[in-house]
Amino acid sequence: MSFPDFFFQRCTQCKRCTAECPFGALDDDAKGTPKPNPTRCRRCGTCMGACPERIIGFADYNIDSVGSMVKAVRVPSEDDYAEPPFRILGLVCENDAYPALDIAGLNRLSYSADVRFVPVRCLGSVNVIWIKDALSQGMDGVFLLGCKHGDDYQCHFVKGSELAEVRMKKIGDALASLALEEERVRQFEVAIDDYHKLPEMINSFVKSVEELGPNPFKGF
Amino acid sequence: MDKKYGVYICEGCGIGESLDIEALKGIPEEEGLPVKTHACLCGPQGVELLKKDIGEKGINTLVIAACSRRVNFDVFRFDGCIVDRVNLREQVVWSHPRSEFPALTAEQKEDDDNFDRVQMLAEDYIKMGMARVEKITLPEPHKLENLSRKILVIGGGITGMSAALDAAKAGYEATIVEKTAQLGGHANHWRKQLPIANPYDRLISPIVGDLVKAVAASPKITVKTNTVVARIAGEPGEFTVSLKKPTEKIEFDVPFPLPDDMKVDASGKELEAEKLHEVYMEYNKGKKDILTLDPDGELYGAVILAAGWRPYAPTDGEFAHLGLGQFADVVTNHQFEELAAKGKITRPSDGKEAKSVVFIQSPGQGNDKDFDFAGSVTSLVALKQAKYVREDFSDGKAFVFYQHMRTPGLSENFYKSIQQDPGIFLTKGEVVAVTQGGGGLMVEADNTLLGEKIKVNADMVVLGTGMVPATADDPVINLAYRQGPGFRDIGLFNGYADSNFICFPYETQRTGIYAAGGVRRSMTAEESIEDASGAASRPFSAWSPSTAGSLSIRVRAT
Repeated sequence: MSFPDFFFQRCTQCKRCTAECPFGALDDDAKGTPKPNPTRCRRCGTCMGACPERIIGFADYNIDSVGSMVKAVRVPSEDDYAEPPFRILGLVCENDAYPALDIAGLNRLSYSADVRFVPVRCLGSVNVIWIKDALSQGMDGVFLLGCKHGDDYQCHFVKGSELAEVRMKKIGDALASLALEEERVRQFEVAIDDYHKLPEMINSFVKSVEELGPNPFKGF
Repeated sequence: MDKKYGVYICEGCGIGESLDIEALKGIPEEEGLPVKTHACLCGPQGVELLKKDIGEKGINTLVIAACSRRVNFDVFRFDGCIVDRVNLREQVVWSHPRSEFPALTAEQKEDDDNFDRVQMLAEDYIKMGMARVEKITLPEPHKLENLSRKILVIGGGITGMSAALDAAKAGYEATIVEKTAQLGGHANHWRKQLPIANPYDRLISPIVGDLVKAVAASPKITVKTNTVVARIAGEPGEFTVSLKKPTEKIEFDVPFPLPDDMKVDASGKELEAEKLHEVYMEYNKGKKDILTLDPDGELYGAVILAAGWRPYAPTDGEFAHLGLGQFADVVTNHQFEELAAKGKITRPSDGKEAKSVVFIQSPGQGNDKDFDFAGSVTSLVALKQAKYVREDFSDGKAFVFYQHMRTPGLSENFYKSIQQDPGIFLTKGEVVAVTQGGGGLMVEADNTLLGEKIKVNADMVVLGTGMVPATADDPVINLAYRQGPGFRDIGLFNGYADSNFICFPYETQRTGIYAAGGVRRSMTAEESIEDASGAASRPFSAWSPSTAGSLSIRVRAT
């Protein structure tokens, strides 16, 4: 188990973490600074995904660790190959989506080799900076793979996948400011037994990104 | 910790056949990291190799490129070491077979514009694993200063008493808080109880008295009647609990979050944090802020919420088409139970013996939904109460009209025994009207199993209304949490406390608070006893000897 650490010097008291924690683990004080209650926490990372200042992280799972994994992906450009392959990032919920991918592999179901998966604790923990990082280093598309939300939700942390969807909608403006198409970022829902649907889900997203063409930031 | 890295690549399970392992080794080597390969890393020799490097070379940060982290996690767990599992098996070679993604031929390799997609995938994943371990540290366990292993049980009904007894049996101290003057809850007012043991085919005397005795006899259980929770502050493992009499107002009553319209000024702009706090304190005048701990509060480690239910109270005019509110002899199942508990069943209107009783399980009017907050328990209660009619009158008749007859598990035996009773008629059907007639009531039903409209003369009509969870009316747990005193309403549970965590039964949206019984869904006494065991087992699993000293709410792989 790990619990979130806060770098309070940079906290702007926006209270998003306090409001969005599915377990009410944070109590803010009179000034609005969050007070963590570690044993209320179930380490989903929703606070980390919520924090606009990116001052919340876990010892073994934080903005830098995931961001560094994203940056470790080699993004080939025309300098490397005449027809460089696309690079797509998949941020995958470890609860159901990641096992579903494993089951797909176990069943020898195949899908595009141009996608790089990073497991996340919950889509609620996805901080939009990772998506911006991926796109600004030239990756062509990003998708989130997580649990169903709504009436028959399956999110282990109640609202994670729903929160992620709200945040993804807001990322549209940021993409527009980079002159990138909104369609380069998508979110998909998958149940643990939906493994047979994954190849089609992944491949059709890859295809849609290929139709948009390569990310113009590639090679910079 | 000073990290000493080691990268280990497994060649088993098809990895070696599919990938150019020498090329893969080049990735860590380029960074100056030692790398080793093995034909079967999870086998005894493979693990020995890892242990040797850890023991002799002081490697403490391992990148293991092999199978998914979801398998062999115990094989590749080394105390005090950071381990990252690079998933070359499930997510590289198994899902990208060479039949579809051929490796480059020697000839193709000569042209720099050619590339091997699968090899690139594996290389990236190894780089990503190396990047991750560089950036993370080992988590340290969180230790509480005053870890309490006492359990607070809210509610002294069948569920609460069962949970406390289970906790006591497991060696834990439990305190039952009951808002009324005595233990027992609704079960104190039943004539008979549904079967809870083999052969499951007949009604039994209520068992609640036995539970009350067992609770009184247990040295591990403290009972506080006429008591409710004013607030629960702090966190699991060291909750500070303030108790009070039900009508008392105390300074440790829980404060409530501000309603949204009070968080903004006249122009609709959100108030500054300090102003907001001021308004909040004014709104909760006389109550201490949530961060102030009650010096007289009692410490508890976990809470079992067994606050139960209340009978559904139909609103004025609701179910008028079934005669409720219009005819005194149309009652709810709860009212019927009260009548039956007093003695022979008689009509409320004139005291005449009620020898013909109709039980309605669905309000009808065009859909087949049961009454709100109903469940299999309301089906079973209709059967139980039909039996009362037969117990009281040898010539009595009971008619049960249902859209769903739910008798799960061995309660099927009870259903079968009711079917055998010649005085009880069970049929699917929609009741369309209840009118006055024939010296009593006239019940009209449509779409029955007989395929036609039927009319039945009745002395009484009983509606199978549901069980409303206590948490629908009141937060009950009164948590001193900034998000508010109750469970967050996410609009899906009708006030039930269940968090609907598919994988985490009994857990709620609040860690360390486990729900059981009628607050989770409408259920029978038997189901409540089972539920209580489930909920009471949750805190213990967090406090197993392996986690002694530190509190682990749930053990997970990462």
